[in-house]
Amino acid sequence: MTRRPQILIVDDEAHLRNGLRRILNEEGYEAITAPDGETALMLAAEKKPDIVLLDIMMPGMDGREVCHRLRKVAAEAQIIYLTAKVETTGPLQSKHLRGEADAFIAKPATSKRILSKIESMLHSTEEQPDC
Amino acid sequence: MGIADQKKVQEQRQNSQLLATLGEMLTGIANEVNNPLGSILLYSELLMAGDLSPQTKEDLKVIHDEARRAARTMSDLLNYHRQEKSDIQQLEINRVLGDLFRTRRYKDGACDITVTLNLHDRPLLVEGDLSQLNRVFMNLMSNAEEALTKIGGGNITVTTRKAGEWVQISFTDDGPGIPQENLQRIFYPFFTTKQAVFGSGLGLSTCYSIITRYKGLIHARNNEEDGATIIVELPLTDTCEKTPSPREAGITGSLVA
Repeated sequence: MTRRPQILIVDDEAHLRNGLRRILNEEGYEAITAPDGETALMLAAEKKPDIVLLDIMMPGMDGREVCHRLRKVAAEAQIIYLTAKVETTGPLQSKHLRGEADAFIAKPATSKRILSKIESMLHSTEEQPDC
Repeated sequence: MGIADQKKVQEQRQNSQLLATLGEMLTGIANEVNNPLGSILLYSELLMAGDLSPQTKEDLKVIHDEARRAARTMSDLLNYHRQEKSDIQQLEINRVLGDLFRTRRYKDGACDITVTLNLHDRPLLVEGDLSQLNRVFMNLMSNAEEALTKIGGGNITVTTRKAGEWVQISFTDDGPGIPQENLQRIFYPFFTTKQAVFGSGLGLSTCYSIITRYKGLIHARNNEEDGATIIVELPLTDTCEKTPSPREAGITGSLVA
């Protein structure tokens, strides 16, 4: 039996995290969630997700630090930053962020946009950053 | 610089400080509002996918569409506040306006707006980013066009002139004018007299932000007769006459919406 693509959602906002988990599960993905960076790293090391949806602005360990550590514990995972648009489009910020995540999704995002990004990343053969 | 100019610069400086504070505050709010908006979008989509009556689905779509509208406003706000990388170069303002209006679509048609360019007969050199100045000029044109559309048409005159060490670019329309109490406030973020579907109220404040970045001034006044004039003033960087003098270039015709 083919394994369902696994998506790890990391966001300190419970409503967003749980809403996204339900949508992804209904679309046939296996979605797991983490409310903070520590839990995310633990789950990623154990489950080896295909994609990590990672909020940048989190209390404690922020998304950028989590991203850096994820590259060591789950090297195969593709990481999508979920973040406010200003962080993805500002010239200084984007220059740094582009070297970190594989893609960005600006908050707030519709499920259509999130699903389309996940779909394209799972099916992309090239490892090009989609920023 | 004369006393009147000094007063204008001082007023503009005070306005800049106020706008900077407002910008920081609004950006903070935008970041906080984006998460709940994201939840509203996702949960309304979850519900809409369920087995519900057409009326309930329609109601949910209203919630979803309104959340998206709020998200767009937040996005405009963040775009307004972010500092863009500027490609500053010396620009000849008559040429900038001439090129801009050549690419804008005007032809004889049903919509009765006539646009005339009255360009100074000498080159007027300023420093700025071409795309940002174009955005300012297009915004000012759009505002004048919208004012005239309300009354079924009219005239817009874009004039450039040298005023001491400044280049003045004025956009004059013969529309309904601006209520006196709004003359200062039109450059504040989110100040708008338009219906929500037409704009977020960031157009003129973006113009203000760009022009003050180049140590320029922007202000509005009502004309003695009909309509209003918005005047952009930029420091003249040089009075050299290396480039050919642009002749008065009248572009007339009707606006194609």
